[in-house]
Amino acid sequence: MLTVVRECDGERVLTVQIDEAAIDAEVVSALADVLDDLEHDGIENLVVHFSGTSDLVTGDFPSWRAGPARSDIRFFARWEETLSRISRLKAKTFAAYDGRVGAAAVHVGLVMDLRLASVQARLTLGSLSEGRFPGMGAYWLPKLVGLGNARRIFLVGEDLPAKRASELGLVDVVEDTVDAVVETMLKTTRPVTPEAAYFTRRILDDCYLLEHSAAVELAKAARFKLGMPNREQ
Amino acid sequence: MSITHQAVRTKSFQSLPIDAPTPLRERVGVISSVASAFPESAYSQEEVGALLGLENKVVRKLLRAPHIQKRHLYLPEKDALTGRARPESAADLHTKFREGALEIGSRAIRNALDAVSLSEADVDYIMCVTSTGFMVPGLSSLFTRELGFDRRVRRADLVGMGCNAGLNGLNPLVQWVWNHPGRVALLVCCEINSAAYVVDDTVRTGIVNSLFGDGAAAAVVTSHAGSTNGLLRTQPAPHVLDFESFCIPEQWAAMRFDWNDVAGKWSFFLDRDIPYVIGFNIREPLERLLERNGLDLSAIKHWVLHTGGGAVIESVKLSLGLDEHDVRHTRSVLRDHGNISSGSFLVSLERLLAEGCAAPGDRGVMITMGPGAQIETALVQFGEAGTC
Repeated sequence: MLTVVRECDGERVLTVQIDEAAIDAEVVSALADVLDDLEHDGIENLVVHFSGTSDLVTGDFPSWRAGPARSDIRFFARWEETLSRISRLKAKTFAAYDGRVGAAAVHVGLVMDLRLASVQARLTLGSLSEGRFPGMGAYWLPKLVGLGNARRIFLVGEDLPAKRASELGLVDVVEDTVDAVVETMLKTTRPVTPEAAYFTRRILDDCYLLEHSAAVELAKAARFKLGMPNREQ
Repeated sequence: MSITHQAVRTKSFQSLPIDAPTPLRERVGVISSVASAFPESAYSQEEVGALLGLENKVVRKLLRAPHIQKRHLYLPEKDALTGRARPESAADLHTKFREGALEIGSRAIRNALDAVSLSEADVDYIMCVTSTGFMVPGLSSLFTRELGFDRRVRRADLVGMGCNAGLNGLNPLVQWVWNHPGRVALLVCCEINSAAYVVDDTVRTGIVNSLFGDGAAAAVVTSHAGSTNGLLRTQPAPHVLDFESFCIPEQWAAMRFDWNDVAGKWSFFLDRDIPYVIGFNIREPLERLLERNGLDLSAIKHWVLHTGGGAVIESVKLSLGLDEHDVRHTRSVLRDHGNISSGSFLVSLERLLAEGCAAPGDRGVMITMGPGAQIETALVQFGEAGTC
């Protein structure tokens, strides 16, 4: 895992490049450290870039042997905590996919603001028919692709080229290269404040959960805060 | 012209800055039991609107909001001629406060003591908190007379601090039980908000009349978990580790009682924006509290929040990055009782404990907010503090 902080149009961009085939506990810990730094330094943009190749999958979950020591339970508890944390970052968040990327990479994208891909990207979530349990993917994925598509993907599996993923709503923007699409979207979202992105993400994430009146209050609270001057002013 | 008074901090005998870490980890108080009580009569929002004759368009909209389903209230009987609740004079409201507080306060006290096999005679210190009635002598004296507390019981009444006051009352009790090992302290938050209703056709009073409910909550505070035979015997008890406060003095007038000359009563005012101001200032005291204890937000598993209202809950959620699960008890207390002011955080805590999901070592935060504008926070850890 490689982490780079750079500047783009006056904002800082923290890019995490993940080449690891499996997102194991070590990678999750390293990711948590990166999130600590991002929050501590108030960095405005986070790009998590999964760079697979045409043959090798990057960003899949580890495999566990069935047995009495259920380390997978502990792993997924930490994993979900990490995703929950990403979904609450006061930063603009982007998942970027290149080459073949696995279920963990797709899960990361499900909790981020935008999912970007090169035309060479292929997304694989794994399916029940392959012996893979969707876990919290089944909670997040339908919000982007709808219940029917999510059911099919998790039951029978589907290898999703970038274009197909884009048609389903699982990827938002596709360009020739991942660098190009990231640069384009960093520039496009430059006028968006990190706080506005965070508030919008929260309202969207809760859109099927909250009663209308609670959603109204959530939106009012966000609107109030976005219009609130800093106390120093 | 506005004048801002800024106090100058002089060197104290301890020479400690206000934010200096204090050795509170060793000074824990244990909330050994919590219980609540409410008036027997409960009303839907529609029923309250009809009984009080609340016809203002804005107020009727407030009453239709689903975040409050019912409230337990001491409302007067219906007048057969008007179909509305009989009007109450200031004297009626005072009597209602005294009698209502005694009734539900007594039930909350007995339930909290029963849960840990204690009686009124075992209580060494009683702290009563209220902002909805003024009595001299105060509620602690009334309970002592009516419930048979020991004549030597230490008494304190915290009056007029509003919705945040439950934690203001808990703070000195926690210090006291630590300094008096083996002794028992009792916190009683008792609010008859319907004794503070002014019924007219304004939005100002309509907001109050559509939000606040009557309720009491009591908590037994000890310096150790002790032997219990109730709810908490099989549940890890919350150990209170530390407190942090935050005042927003520029919001002094945002929540206040004014004298209403026409009604001849005190009338409560709630500023429209205060839920958001409070919600988005909450991080400051909370981060100080957590940092002082070497923690951050991710270390907090349980959230016990004051049920200020729908806007407060959403503001706090956004500000702290909480989700619906984190605020489930706060939301359910609001739904079932409305805002019962100082005791509402204890009812949320009661529900968290009854749920049985808090494990030894889990950390939680209790947050209350109210006039001042004031934010109070407390850090708790379930089970034996410092062992997990």
